[in-house]
Amino acid sequence: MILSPAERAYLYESLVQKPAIRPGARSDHQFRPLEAKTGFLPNSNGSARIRLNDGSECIISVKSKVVVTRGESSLIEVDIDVPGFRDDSNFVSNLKFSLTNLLITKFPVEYLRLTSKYSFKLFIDCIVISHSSYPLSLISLTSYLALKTTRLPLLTSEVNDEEIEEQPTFSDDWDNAKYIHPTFQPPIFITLGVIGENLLFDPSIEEEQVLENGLILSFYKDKVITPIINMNLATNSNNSNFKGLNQKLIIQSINLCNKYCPAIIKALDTLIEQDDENDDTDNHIF
Amino acid sequence: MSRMELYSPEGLRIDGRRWNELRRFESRINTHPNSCDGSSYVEQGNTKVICMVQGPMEPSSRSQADSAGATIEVNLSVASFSTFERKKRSKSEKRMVEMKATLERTFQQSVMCHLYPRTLISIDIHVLAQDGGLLASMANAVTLALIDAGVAMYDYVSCISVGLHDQTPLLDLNGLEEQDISTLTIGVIGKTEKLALLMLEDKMPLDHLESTLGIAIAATHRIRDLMDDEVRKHGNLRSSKLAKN
Amino acid sequence: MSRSVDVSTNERAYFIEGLKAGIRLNGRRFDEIRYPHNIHLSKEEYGYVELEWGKNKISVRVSSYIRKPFEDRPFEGIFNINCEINSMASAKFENGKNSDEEVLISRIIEKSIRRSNSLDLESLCIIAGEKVWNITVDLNFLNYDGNFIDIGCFGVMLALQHFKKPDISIINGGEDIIVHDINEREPQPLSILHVPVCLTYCFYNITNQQEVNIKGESTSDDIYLLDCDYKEDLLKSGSIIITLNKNREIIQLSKNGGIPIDASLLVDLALGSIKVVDELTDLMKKLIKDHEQQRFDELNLKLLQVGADR
Repeated sequence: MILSPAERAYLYESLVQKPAIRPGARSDHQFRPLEAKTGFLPNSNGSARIRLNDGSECIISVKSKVVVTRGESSLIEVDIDVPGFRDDSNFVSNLKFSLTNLLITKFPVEYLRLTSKYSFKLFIDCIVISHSSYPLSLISLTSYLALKTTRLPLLTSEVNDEEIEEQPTFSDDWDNAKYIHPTFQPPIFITLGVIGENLLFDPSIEEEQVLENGLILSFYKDKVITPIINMNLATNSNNSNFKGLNQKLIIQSINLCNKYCPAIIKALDTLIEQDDENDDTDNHIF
Repeated sequence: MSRMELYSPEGLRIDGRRWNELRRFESRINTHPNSCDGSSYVEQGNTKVICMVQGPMEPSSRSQADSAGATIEVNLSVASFSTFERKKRSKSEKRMVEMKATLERTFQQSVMCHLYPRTLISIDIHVLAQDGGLLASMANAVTLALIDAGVAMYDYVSCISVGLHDQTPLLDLNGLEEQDISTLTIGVIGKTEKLALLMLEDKMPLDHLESTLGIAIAATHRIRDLMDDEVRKHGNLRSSKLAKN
Repeated sequence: MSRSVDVSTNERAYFIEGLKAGIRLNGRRFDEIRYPHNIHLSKEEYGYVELEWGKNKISVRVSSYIRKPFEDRPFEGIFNINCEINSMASAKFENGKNSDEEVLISRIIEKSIRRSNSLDLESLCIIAGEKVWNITVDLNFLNYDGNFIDIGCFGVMLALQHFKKPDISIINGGEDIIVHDINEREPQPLSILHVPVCLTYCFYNITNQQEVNIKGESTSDDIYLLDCDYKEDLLKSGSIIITLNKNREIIQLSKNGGIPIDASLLVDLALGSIKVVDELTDLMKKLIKDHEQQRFDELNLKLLQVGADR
């Protein structure tokens, strides 16, 4: 949805107020309401779906495969499919690169090691069914849920198989399958919009069009980590307000994220718990 | 390839069904109210399909504007995780293009296109899981999504796959059965015996065609009822909401 | 968009009126096909065929070479069909761009012949897991006059029956092979399990009331024509492709859009097609036999033949 010049000016003025007046009456650090569902794909080790109230939606599946550790350059492979965009378009490759990079550098690979020779390789496939604002944070929150609920079969053969020829064997009982690690918390991306002195969490499509800058912060293990990226979030519409970034705001954004992100993680964890409780009664996505 | 017993002498199939039993058919409409004009979700056994319809709307390119009627465009995306073994699929694969063209042409006839001249109806299909009867599930999902979008159609297009094992027709094949026996997919308009969609990919004796078609048509009428139930359930839900306000 | 010619309303009306009176503009009966003519089976090269069918013209070449089989199918040879349609055949096909129609044509020919196992792949195996024959069919459409599928399928099957691959002997206990030159030893024909024949029926609704057609019970308003030419193809409101063989097996059925067809009509069409299928299969057999005989006479092979006529 492209805003008219008058609408832009109005929205800009309301967003630079202190405190900002956001459409939808959100506060600076408030996310858009979302609904989520996990574990709905029986063929995958983990699956999750998040939908925002504006209709943006992302489905992620995590599938695993036993591989010889030495033969693999990376134990995580991410693929993103956005309908309407070619797989080799800038938009899709940027999303894919950001998410892959974050997961590969921060994923504790030792959790995937099975035996001295073999490991699990995870294939993380995202479908962005529809999106309006820049979907990176949506994708990363969904991948958080999917990875958190991924269950891998229990190894029944010897861990030390340096001398053994056979491939590892697993327990037949799916009830024995384990989560990747009980304390494992996948890293996530948070998008922040910069406008005047204000930093807005999770900007919507309308807000993106008047932002002066956009920040993408990564958050892992209770603190903000690198990469911290700044970019024009309005990738599919032009934004004439875009300008340089005040360095003070970067420090401020890190502090804000350190303050509010634990709550986001907690909310996601609560979602998973609720989903677990409902699991037996309702297995449908919708 | 190991030969599994697809149909036991007692008359049971690998998943425990009899020859004339359908798989669990679950459908929802209006699943994505905020992101498109019409949407649906269909589960036929373990095959899961999401369908979203945009339009009728102004086409982005002039070539899609037909003064005689609406243009129907189908975008098919089969998730790489939809099969048991993960496999990345290209959209230009011949099989994909064929299915896309088949769906486009089928619905071009079943939708009252002449009511929407110079418009585009764009249909996005996402296959999340596949276990046999893919074309049938997709066509059913498209029908429901078009109804949800309020696009005028002559009647439901209901689809089913049916196979022939020796002399016995087997209804609504699952993935394992589909690998081994020939599959006929048909789509029927409403409760008639008119075939809007027809596809047979492997050998089938000519003399069994009639009996196989017969059972398949009966099944599509059943599917039509199941879809109709869902549409009416949703309609009642909406009208009760309206009444409250 | 393809650069096809549109048919004017007058022409359309004239055509439909003709159908109502039971007349096709080309003078054929509704279920009559154009028989292939000017069939050229190459004398120099096994597996090269050129033929015309109405104004359609195609050339087919079968070629073979020896390669390693796919790992998951060590006992099977490899068989591909390449379909080449470009704007030489008709301006409606664009060069270098695969339209849906082109994909459907090649897909149906492939389904009819390759998927139905009409060529015995196991007979193409030389040494299991090591060496197999790779048979490639190149199908080129030279001129378009409607109904590429039927003619393409006919051409490919004729070429496959015409083709002969060099004889082979295995030496050193299965270690090596010798490929004998065709002048040294008589080459071997391919083992063909059955001969699929595609037949395309086009549908016309003469009442022009779509609603009646879709929901109506009566089928009397539908007219079907076998083997449409260029103009009939442009005017069609639906088509169905039936592939059958002489053993009364349906190889493939597909209906890609178009007006719905009544199930009982479909069964009637399929049963009625058998006659044409038999004719075309016999024609192929006869062509190959005559060609063999001719070659036999020309090379004076009779001189080399030893045996008693019983």
